[in-house]
Amino acid sequence: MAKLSKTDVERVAKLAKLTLTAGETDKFQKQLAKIVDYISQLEEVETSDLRPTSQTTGLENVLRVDEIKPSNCLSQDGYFVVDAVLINK
Amino acid sequence: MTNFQLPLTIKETQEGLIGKKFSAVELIDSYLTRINKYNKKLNIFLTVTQEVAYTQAKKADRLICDYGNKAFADYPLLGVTVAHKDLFLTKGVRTTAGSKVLESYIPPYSATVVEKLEKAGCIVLGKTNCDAWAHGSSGENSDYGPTKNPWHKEYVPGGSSSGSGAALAANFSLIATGTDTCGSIRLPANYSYSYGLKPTYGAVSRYGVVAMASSLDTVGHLGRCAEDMEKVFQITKGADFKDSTLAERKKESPKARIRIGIPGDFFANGVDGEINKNIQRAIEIFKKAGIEFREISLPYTKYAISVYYIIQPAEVSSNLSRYDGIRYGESRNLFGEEAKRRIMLGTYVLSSGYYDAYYLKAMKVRSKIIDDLNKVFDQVDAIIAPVAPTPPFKIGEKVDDPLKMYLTDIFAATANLSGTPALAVPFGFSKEKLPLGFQLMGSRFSEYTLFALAKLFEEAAGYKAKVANL
Repeated sequence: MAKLSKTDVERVAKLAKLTLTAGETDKFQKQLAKIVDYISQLEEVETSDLRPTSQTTGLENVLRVDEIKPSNCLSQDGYFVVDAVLINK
Repeated sequence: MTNFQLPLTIKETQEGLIGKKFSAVELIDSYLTRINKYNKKLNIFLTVTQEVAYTQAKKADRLICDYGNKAFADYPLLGVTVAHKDLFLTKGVRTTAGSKVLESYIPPYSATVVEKLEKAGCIVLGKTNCDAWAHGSSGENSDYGPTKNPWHKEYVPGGSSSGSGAALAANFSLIATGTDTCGSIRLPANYSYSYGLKPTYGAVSRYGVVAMASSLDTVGHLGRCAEDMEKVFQITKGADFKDSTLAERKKESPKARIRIGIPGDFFANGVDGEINKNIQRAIEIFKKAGIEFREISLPYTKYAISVYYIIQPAEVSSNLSRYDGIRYGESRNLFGEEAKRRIMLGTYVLSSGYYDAYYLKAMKVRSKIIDDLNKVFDQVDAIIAPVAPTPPFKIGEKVDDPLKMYLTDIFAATANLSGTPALAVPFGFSKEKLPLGFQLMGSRFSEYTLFALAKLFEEAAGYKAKVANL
């Protein structure tokens, strides 16, 4: 696997909407390259006949009864009215 | 104020309340005095909920006055003080997730577990410090400064539920809540001489708990004896029709004869000598109590951290994308270094050209690890293993080397990747007088077997709950 480059770091930061300083880009490149190097050990595992696991519960399509509850209804004049979320600063 | 020693277990607390050794209000007085005196030095609580605590304590006193012993039937955890990791939403009480991004966020509702504990009679003392977004193994990634280990202030308390573990060691609370995505309950429990339960994935609701990696996150708790761990689990478990991963299971009684597996692969991989010897001692105690042991092999668990550090950052990058500065809190510029690292790593392994090589590959090796474990649980009922490769380490020791920090969780990852339960058990101290212990891992929904084993061990080892001298 190719080594993670500075361009990779810049590209990924842009995709993830993160702003990095020049110093951060250098630091993260070194640290992330080392981590990517480590996780690349998975290359040695033979996985061609394996199915991927995305969850461990085995549950599928968990449904509940669709009841009308007051807490799920528009509370005032066709709006949801809630307390302010961001108040202290 | 009346003179009494703070109780260390639920039994001691409730006997004290019913025997009028102390009232719930006097208990809160006592806890708050201790917290106000030492919290600054240890950095355990980010928010102390004094008003809420007194309201709930007065209610507890009234219930005990009116109904006596019968009050505990309707409120099994009446008078039990709890400290919530600051990842749990608490209605009207600031919830930061340890990050500056949520510094001013006040949730309009409470997490299911917070509500369930309150309904069972718990008294909330406050919100505890943690690695920001639960990313970390030492507590040092908190945007509000590191938590100190009450057993030795130069050492880390373990993370990411750093404040929850330290709250028990410092005797700031009777129980504490935590989340475990890769050891984040078990490690702080282990480093603070407490029990820590990482339940089965799907046993306890995660509704209202800030999400980190959704296929791995579990909500659990810390306490000071096996009985308390079971009592709290009895309340927190079960479907709430809000977290759709929950499955209802009948309480399964443990078998009469329990067999424990010793994973040679774990002990071969750089476990500290003191930890190794201590676990051998624990095994001897179990054997004397009639437990049978068998060598087992988990060959693919050596890939657990690699699999984890692909799947987890991938899910983190997705979960943290909602913090865009519009819907919640502050802008993305306020993410700390570790959050940035994980968002970038996750974005990288999911990006075009790398998805198959990393993400898909990791999901396949995850299947292999689960397969390993399923085979082992056909032969044994539980597994004994170290929680971490070393005893508590010094603050600052691993901060410049993220990979080294990640490897702290090498023995924790298997339970999260497979969705199985694990219980950290306190046992012994190192030469430096730092807490030691081990973890008991079980098959899915085998929590009651783990509690039974821990109770048997407490009895055989003559266990006593201990807190640090501050």
